[in-house]
Amino acid sequence: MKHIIVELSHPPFGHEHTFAGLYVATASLSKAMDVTVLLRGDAVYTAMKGQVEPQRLIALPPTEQQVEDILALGGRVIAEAHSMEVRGLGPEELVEGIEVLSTQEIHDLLLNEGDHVVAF
Amino acid sequence: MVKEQKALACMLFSGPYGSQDADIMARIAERALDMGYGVKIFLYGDGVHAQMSGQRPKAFFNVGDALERIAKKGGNIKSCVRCSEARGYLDGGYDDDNERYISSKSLDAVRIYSLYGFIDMIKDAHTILTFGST
Repeated sequence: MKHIIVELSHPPFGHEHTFAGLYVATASLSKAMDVTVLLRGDAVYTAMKGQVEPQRLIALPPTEQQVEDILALGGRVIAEAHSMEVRGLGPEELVEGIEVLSTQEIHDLLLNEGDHVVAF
Repeated sequence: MVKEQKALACMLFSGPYGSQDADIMARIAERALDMGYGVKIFLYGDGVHAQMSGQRPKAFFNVGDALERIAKKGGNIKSCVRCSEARGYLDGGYDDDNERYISSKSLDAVRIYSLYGFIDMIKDAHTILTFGST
């Protein structure tokens, strides 16, 4: 089984990148691939809990729900600790099930795991 | 022993002409085909604009012509139906005979398809190159 790493670095709602990456992650899971989503930089906001009706208010899907769907489908979602710290985010503010890893651990994962990395 | 053909998958996420992403992707894809690679391209997000027929840039590298050359050489080019529909490319539903969504605005060389088209490319690829997505 192929393992794809989807690396996100853009904020959730300002660009199409995050949605594009999350759709690739979900579609890959439904095609029986192993999927890891990496949230780095402003992409850590993608997994924030308590998003208030973005679909109704700004006509964009809630990324919180998309992250929960990826976890429910068996995907792994990882947020970079350093990116969270500099933005003042704690792990309790993220969707349950997100792993928080150090930059070194993420680099080890990028170099040692996964058949392909698709970055958005 | 038969040598296995190397498979290259390219994803284009930005439109043609606003940046050089499409131009560079097309040149690499053509070169890979000439070297004997199997080449598949997926147009995603604003990258679907590379499928517009009738492109006539005055001075720039013509991305539409390049995609047609790539398809003629055996390259497999698909574009995201969701992104294409959002940007006004669709005229109808899925055409089973031609394995694509119907569009009068898109090049024949490009088949408008579901995102699973890209997932299948990932599954088969030895190398994936992305353009305009970071």
